[in-house]
Amino acid sequence: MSFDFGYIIKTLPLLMVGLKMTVFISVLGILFSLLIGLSGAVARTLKMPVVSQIVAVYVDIIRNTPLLVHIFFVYFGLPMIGIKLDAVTVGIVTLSLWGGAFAVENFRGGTDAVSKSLIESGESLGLSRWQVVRHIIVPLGFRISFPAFSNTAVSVIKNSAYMTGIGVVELTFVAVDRMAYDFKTYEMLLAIAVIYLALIWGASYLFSRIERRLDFNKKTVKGGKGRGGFVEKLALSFRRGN
Amino acid sequence: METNKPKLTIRNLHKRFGELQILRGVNFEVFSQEVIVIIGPSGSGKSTLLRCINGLEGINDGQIFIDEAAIEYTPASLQKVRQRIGMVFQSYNLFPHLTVMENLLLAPLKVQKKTKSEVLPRAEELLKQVGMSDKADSYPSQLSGGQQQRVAIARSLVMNPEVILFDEVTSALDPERVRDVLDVMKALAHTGTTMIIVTHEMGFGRDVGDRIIFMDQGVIVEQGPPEQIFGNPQEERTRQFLRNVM
Repeated sequence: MSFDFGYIIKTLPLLMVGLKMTVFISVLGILFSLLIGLSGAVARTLKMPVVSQIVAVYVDIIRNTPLLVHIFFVYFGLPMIGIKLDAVTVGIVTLSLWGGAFAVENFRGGTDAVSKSLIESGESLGLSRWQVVRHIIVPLGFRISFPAFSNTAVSVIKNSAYMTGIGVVELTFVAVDRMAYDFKTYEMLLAIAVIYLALIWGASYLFSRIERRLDFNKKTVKGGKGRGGFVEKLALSFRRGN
Repeated sequence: METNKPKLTIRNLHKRFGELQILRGVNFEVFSQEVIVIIGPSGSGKSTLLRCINGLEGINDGQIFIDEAAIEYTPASLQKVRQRIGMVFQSYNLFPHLTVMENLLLAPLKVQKKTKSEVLPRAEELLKQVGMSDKADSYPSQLSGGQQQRVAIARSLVMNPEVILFDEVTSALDPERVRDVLDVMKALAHTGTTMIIVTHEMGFGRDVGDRIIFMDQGVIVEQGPPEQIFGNPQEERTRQFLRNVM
């Protein structure tokens, strides 16, 4: 059996249509995960009554059940009670809920690590509780746990492939669809593997650039030398591979 | 120096953490422009006292008055009180994600809702006063402990508080840096800022304090002018403490 490169080239325009959908649902999934993650983490860190408990239960349920089950539940289950969403919306909703649950835990690591003394120092300057959250806990927690969150974000991109199960025309769907028509299994699987790899490398590069921009300990101003500060040490302990 | 009406009145202040009684009825007054230095062994309740005045800790009994109005321990009321009573901490507590200047501007912009152009001249002047003008754009992690503490003092001053509380602000510094911070505080005391200073630096306390308060086991054992406390203490417990530390 011969490997048909020409077939990949010929199918590329179709694969690009799938890629566009993959990027679309992933980007929205990541953005909503970020929002859910930060708000959930703040609610947990501040031990907000009721909200904190609801977030804990949500995180527990999502983290301990398969994503495919969430997808089928929302797509096939919710219509039974009159909630009918189209496949793309289901894709965005379930990816956001999945990523959000993991992001809550990512960011909670960061928001919990913002020391009580910094919070007190904000309060002693007359900042309200909300201002402390907005100007101290969130920006610091975000910086500390961004590396962990970028892992979740990469997983959101990869998990977008599950949407093939409900017929979202994303990258994997297009490849599987072509395989069913033309039986070029190896070509299609190799092609999407390479495209996913490129996509995720690109995303990881972007995240590492953001990470560097966020790292206030590495910034050198007017010849000042970057000293390993308290937060840097904390950030390091959250950084993968370190 | 003193006016008739006290700026702060602490009356019968009690504070406990669970079973542990930290403050057992503390009474004193602070007058405008007065520098109070609180000394005493570890665990005597000095820091807790400051934290109660600033509302970082609730109180179990007693009252604290600012300009004869009792402090209410509700979030909204405490927020107002804290704009009038500044605090500088042992561990500096600068916001590590903000530059020195941003640290100074945060509260005036967000709490007092001032514009940047309104606050900037004052912030620059204060940085100059604490000798940190050239570090306005640095991040806290790029500064030494002493430098961070001087910035923290400037950050507190930029809110124009009526009283500033200093909680063992030199305890975390290496000895060479202590002097820089103490010099800033001395200069501040000479400008007539009302200050309550908790410190283990006895020499400094003697130099700068208008009144010294000696605390032990949650009560004020003795208070008076520095000459009395350091030169001729009336209480045996005070004499014993000073013998141990000086």
